[in-house]
Amino acid sequence: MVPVSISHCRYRVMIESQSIYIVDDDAAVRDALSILVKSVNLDAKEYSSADQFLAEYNPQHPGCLITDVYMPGIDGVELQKRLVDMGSQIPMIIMSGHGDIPLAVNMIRNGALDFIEKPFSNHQMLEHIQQALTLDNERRSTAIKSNQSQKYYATLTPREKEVLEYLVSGVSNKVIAAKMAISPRTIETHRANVLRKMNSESVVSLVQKMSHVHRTSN
Amino acid sequence: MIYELNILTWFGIALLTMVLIVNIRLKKQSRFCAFSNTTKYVSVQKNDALAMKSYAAENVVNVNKNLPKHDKNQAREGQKSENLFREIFESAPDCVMLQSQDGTIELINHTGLALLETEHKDNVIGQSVYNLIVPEYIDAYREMSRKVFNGERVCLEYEMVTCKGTRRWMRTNTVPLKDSQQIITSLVATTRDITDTHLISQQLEAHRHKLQTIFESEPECVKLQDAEGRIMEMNPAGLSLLKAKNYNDVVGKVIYDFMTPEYAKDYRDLTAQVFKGGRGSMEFEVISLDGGRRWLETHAAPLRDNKGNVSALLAITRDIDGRKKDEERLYQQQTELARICRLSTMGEMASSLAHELNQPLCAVSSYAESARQLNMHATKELDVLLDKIVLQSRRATQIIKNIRDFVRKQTPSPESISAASIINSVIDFVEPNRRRNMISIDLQITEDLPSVKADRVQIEQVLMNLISNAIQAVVELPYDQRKITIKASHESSEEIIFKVCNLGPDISEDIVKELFTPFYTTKETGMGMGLSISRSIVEAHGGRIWYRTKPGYGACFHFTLPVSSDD
Repeated sequence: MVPVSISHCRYRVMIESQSIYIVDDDAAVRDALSILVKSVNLDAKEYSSADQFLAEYNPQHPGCLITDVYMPGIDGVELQKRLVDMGSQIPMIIMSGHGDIPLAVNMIRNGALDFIEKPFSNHQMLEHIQQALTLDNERRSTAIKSNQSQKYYATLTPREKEVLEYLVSGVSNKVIAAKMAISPRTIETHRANVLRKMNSESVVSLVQKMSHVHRTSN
Repeated sequence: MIYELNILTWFGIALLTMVLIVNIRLKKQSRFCAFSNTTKYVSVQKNDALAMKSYAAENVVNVNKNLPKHDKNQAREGQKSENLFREIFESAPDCVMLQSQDGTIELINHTGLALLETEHKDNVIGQSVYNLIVPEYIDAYREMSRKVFNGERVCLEYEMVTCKGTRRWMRTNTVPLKDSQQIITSLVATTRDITDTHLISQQLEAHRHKLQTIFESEPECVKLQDAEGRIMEMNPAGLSLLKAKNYNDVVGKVIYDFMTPEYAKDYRDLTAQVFKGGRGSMEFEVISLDGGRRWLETHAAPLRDNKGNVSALLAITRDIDGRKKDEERLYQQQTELARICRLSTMGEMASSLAHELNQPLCAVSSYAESARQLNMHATKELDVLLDKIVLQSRRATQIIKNIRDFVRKQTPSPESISAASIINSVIDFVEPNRRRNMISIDLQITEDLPSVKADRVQIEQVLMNLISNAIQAVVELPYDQRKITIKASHESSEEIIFKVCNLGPDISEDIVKELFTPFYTTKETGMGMGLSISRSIVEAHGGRIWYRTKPGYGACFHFTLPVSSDD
């Protein structure tokens, strides 16, 4: 028997209105992919050319991209380049005709997620889409978190920033007090403020947040 | 005082004068005609008498005064007759000579003297004729003389030397002279100087001989033929072209006997053209006497006689069989090449076809799978059908992949590849064929064989060629002999050797020689390129490919590849 049974449960919508962008010059291929995507309750958007896609694309909108390599006009390679130029991190799934493998490999090197040969199996395509959407979510939440952390960080006083650095490096209050020539009690106050402002419950989560934050001095 | 001398004295003086004159003459011509060891000095008396005989030619009647009158008249008549014949004798335009049996010249006319380049009969008459003949012809002359004195009439051509030492060619007609008793007393020779004509005929002979030699030695066929096509003459080269052992096997026969009918009409036209004075050439096939056929090219021209009429067709014919065969082969090769170009265009087409087919196939495949999903548990029969659609579309996909693999044009890119992996991938490819024909493949791949440095696709092509040839070789054999052995092992520290062997009849000697030649095939639908391409590929990799039979394994194709130094 052909293994085509897929459990719908695995493909829950994770973030509101994720879209699967389908870019291929062949109408039938687009159509078949659309049907597949919709069969797992995901939103599919079809484009007959890379140009058409770029004209309507909004990087804020979550989702992933499935594209052919060889297309008239702007091909898959050029499309990827343009997306990178505009700072988009949208995960790309490349469909390759058998002869384009070297090109496809290059695109992977330049950041595409994976490639799948035509004709593809539905099951495999859905797996790739799953991976892509997961990746997109992660990137977005990371971005969001990083934004937030950045904002919080901006509200810190210079003293607080200093204390933050020591905290993140893992030294005890006592040592910080000594290093900053302030009393430990003052350090404790600073520590509490920092945690509060950074919206962290512990130094550990503080450390996580700080990995996304650009340090600046006021 | 002078008139006082008496008659006797006058006579004496006259006699003395004559003697003196004769002596002076003798002294002037002291060297007699050459080749004579003995210089014969004729006695004055004899000479005189004979001289007086010839000097009497001017109708001087020399009659003895003392004869009676009746006899005087008869004698006078006789003398007149004698004078007439003498006149005829002397004025004959050819030399007339009388010769005795021992060769002494008794009589000779003026023309004869002129021939001998002398003015005095005394130098000749009484001489042996053999003094005048060049030594090589003396025997012939003697023989002639003997025959004549036996009563025969003989003609002879010989060379003689004049009194001045010049050599001349003579033709002499000799007859015996009989006396009243029918006894042969002398030989009469009428002789003509044929020096000039002899020279001419010698030159002609030399010329004829030269032409004959050219004709005989000419390496190409030269022939003369009449208007009906009858062969009048043919040189040895032509005879051997027709494989004729005898001249008469060809000369006298009609050229159309040696030609296939399809060329007869054109040849007739050519003959007609030549006999009208034109020239022409044509190619045709000749059937030689041993039945063989060869291509010939003939150039014909008219041969004219002295009057300017065309008397024969002269043709030079050369064997162009070799050239024709080369042209044939070239034509075949060109046709084959054109076919291969079409095939390679077809290869291109196949490639783009595969590419085009891929799109709808991709859609169909996905649709079928989606439909199958939608139908889940709904209609059993629909499930089954949809499964089949999916299966077939996957199969179509694989076919396209295989075509693309086979046809893909890539610049050869050598890499380190393992013998096992390429052998296995080719075996996978022929699996359906193998199974269908119940052929067993015995793999003997040495463990831990080092990688070879080669272009994967090209070496797969070589293996593919050898293995499919092996399959074709065993497919007709009884089932238990349908066995192919594929081996890969060390040939040396630097080479890996691949062997593809099959049981079955060995390849015959003459085919073995041609095995790797381009365009050579024993298959009806074969292109003959497989082994030739395989050899090019193997040799381009620095390996060798060859065929040999091995007891127990059957007929084996071997090839080597260099070990990769990248490991």
